[in-house]
Amino acid sequence: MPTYENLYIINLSMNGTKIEIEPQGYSFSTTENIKSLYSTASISFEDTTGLIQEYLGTVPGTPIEIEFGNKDHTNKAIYVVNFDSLNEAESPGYITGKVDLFLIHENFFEHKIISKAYNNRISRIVRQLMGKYNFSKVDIDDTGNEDIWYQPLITDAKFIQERLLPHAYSYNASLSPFYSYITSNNEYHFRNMKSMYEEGKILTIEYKVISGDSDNDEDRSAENKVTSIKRWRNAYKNIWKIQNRSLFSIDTETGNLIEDNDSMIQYPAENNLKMPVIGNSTTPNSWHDDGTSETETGKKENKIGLRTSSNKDGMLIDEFLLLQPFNPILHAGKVIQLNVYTINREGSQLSNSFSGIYVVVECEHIWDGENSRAYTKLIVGRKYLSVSNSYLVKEQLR
Amino acid sequence: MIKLNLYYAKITNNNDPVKKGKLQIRLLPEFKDIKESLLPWADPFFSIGSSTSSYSMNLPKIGSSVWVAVDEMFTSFNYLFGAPFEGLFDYASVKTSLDTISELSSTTYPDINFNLMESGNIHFENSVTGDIGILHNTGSYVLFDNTGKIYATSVGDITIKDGNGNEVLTSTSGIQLKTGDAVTWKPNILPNCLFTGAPHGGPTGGITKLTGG
Repeated sequence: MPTYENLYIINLSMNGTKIEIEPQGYSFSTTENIKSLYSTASISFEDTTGLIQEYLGTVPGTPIEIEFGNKDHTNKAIYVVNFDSLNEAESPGYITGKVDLFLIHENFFEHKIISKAYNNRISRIVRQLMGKYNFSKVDIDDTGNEDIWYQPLITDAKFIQERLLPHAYSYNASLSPFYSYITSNNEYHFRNMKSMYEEGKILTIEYKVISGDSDNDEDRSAENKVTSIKRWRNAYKNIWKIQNRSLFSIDTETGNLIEDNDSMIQYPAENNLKMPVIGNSTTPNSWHDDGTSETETGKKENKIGLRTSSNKDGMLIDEFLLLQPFNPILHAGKVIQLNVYTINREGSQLSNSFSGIYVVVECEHIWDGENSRAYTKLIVGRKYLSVSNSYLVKEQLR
Repeated sequence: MIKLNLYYAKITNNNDPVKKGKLQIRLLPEFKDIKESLLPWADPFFSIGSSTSSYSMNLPKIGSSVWVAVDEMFTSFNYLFGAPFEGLFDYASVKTSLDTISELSSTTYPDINFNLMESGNIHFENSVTGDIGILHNTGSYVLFDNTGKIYATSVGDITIKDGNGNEVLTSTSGIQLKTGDAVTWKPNILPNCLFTGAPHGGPTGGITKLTGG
């Protein structure tokens, strides 16, 4: 049986110095999610003597570089200790035992408040802002939204996440929303969902138990086999209110109310696909404030961006939680082909409803030191699926 | 619904290029380091009843302070007058001025509605009695009292003209009257001569102005 040295590359450095503890002596994980800017990490280890804590090796602010991969691919990023905990002392009377560290990507602590205005497109501003920091790559999809944008004594991160991201719009994105996130390979991404899909699948992941030695499918290497799968579908109530919306704005010339409407299946529109929900197609369930009428292109695009981003809850209605052997090429924002199966008279059959292209919403790479094994936990999601014409429910789906 | 927050701001420019009463403002401290050319032009918050055809304008000066209502995304800016850091207004100074108008029946606070201009001129109205008028910074005033009587008091000359060319002019040399049908002053306050029929007054009689005594 191969040892971890043959399979994985694991290096932890604290304050620039490599930690001289064997990887079996600690566990850690790195987590990234397209819905939140910062990747996070957690590390737990046995401080059997209490000396690591004594020498203040775990205090908040301590930078720890985590390098985690295999011979083909490694991810490396610096995280900073946000807080540490010692839940239970192992030896009564001594500060010893299992210490947990909770860390955030170092970028969180690099920002300072800035008072500045930008007269530019959102994507160019984001590139300018995030280009200042120590990322291995800054990966940005172009937007429109040319306007004057104010950063009123807030950090670059808050400015991007709370002011720019909600307005981001691109004609090329076909009304799919933008996401802003950092991955565990120290890359920053400002991407729209359509562009993620257009990049194409990076691998096919299968959930199928093969009995005996019949596993000779070349397309199904060991690292692509899902060991555990769980439905992770969003609650219907979370998207019910965006099914159909009235859009209201005020005409700045006349003061009159302008009425319009939209539907969640416009973000983006996919004519041949269906959302896996049954619902009405006409009655408004909520209304969206479109503000005032605008004539400038940039400001019009800002409004469309706000409408689109307010539909984000509907983008990932169909989700799965997958556990599989460690695969460091998997990251949030990547697209995979998921194959799952049902059972019929002839044996197994590829599920038409659930097999398909999914985007990785959350990716957690985990090192379990106690068992000397690594694995990857994914939450994958999608909005639409292709439904067979023979399925009676098809006409009722959105 | 738009959620607005109030911010303190200094006015950096009041010469709105589109002449719609906008003010260029610097929110403090939020916009403290922003280049002046990129500072926003805030729209005025219209008072009730204002419209594109009915409006009252009294633009504050560059360097003075305003409260500005800003949406959460910092995309819309509307200014309100009067940031309190420059002190609250004291009615006593207006009352002192209005008390010089002897015909004004009452100047009791808070009955007086007024608009004190930067120049010191005051538009005023007693909301209880109905007295209304204008007090000039020189001390001259025009008052319509609560019975409709008109009082015009000037520290200098007074000229009254009508649409027919008639004029009344008061000056240090007395009162001059002019009718619309002649270019000459001809106050004719005496009847014509009973014997000759010639006028006793007016230019023919050698009288062109009225004086006391």
